[in-house]
Amino acid sequence: MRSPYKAYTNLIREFMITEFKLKYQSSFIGYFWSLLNPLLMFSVLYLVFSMFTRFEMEYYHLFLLLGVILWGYFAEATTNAMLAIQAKAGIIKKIYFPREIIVLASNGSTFLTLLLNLFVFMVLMVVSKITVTVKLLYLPFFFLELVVLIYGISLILSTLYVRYIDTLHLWRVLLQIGFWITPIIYPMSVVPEEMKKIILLNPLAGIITQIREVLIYNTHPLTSTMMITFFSTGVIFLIGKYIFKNKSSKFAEWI
Amino acid sequence: MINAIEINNLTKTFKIPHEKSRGIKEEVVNLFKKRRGYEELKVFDNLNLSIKKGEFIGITGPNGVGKSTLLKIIAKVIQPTSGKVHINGKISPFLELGTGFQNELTARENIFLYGAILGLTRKEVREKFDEIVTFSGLKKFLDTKLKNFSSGMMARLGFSIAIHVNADILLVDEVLAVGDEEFQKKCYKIFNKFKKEGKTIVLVSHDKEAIKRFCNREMSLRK
Repeated sequence: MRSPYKAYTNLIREFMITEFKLKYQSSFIGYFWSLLNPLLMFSVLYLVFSMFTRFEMEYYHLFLLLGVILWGYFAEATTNAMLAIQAKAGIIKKIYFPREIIVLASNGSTFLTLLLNLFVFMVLMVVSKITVTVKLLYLPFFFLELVVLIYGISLILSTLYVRYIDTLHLWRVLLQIGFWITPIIYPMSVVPEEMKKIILLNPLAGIITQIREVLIYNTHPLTSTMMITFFSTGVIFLIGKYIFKNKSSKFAEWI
Repeated sequence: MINAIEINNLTKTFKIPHEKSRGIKEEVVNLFKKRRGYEELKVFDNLNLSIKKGEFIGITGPNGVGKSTLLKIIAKVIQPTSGKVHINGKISPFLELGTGFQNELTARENIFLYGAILGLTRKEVREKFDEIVTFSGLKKFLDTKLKNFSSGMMARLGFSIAIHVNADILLVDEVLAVGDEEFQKKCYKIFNKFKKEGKTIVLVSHDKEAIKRFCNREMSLRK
């Protein structure tokens, strides 16, 4: 007897391949389109924040590009995952398989895009002569946190979206706000002390800050930040798991 | 003999919403007006059914009586409101035209995708690939995008994949009608072969003639 696990990982892979093919086959410069988005965003923001106003800090270009790439990944992954269940309505109505596979596959294919974008960032890092140290060993952990956070939010959003179409509009608004209350264009050091605690409740703020610290600035992340981020990520993940587990058996009727 | 499918006291009630859209606004409005916002529709009330291993059962009945719902409940796609459903063995559902297909991909790519949806690994699909293609009779169109397929061609492709999954139970929902006569004959031949292999087939159809000829049991659903 074959384990269903193998069939499911196979299905995740097959969904990912399909999504990647569909995304890039009709536009022949394919991947560059998804790179163009963060690059354009970066260029505009960089112009504004190096000519009109300035943050006193080293490597602002790397700081900003990494923030924009990670934020772009977060926004794209959560939005795509929310729409993914609806996009697969036909199969959901007819064939049984764990619905989480759809969310996992959607997150997975956006992660592939992130890897390609990070590669571009690495090139810029080498050009800027950044030396990395053993602190890099933190990176897998922070990226794992990011992936888990996105997965948790994706589970919540996709469940809500199947029930309420307003979720998409609401999420777009929240993303707009999120962009400004997350330290993407500004460093945590310019945030007033009493605001810092509130901003760090958003796990994304902690994760992005920590990835920058170990990757660009070679500094040690604060233990308190690590704890808060770890905890809030975990809570969001568990909420997502719980909601999805309880509601996904109804998807076929709701869609 | 073990039953392949056993359904005990199955009740299924659907909630049909009044509004077409599913927005938060409607929910809030309904809350304030203290109305339910949906109508209840009872499709099954204490249905009992056991299908033996190796049986070929045909289900008939007018539109909207719950034939497809029954198949979906057997396939675990929707859950019963109350009652128990026991399934013994692996299910291969073939429930509707083009389900799970991607129109923008070629037939070849779709065979792998659909195979995966039905629980096959890439390697298994590769092993059965030639058989699937031969049965469907669509060899010439392997690299054609599915959006250029006719409905009959899609049914052929979907059905060919579904019967190569090596399942113990095959669920077929009124889809053979789109295939031409030659293909339908082929399908019933396969059903006969499956029956001999001890596989269970549940077929929903309006073709009473065919059901009388091929099935060893007929179940007619009434409102």
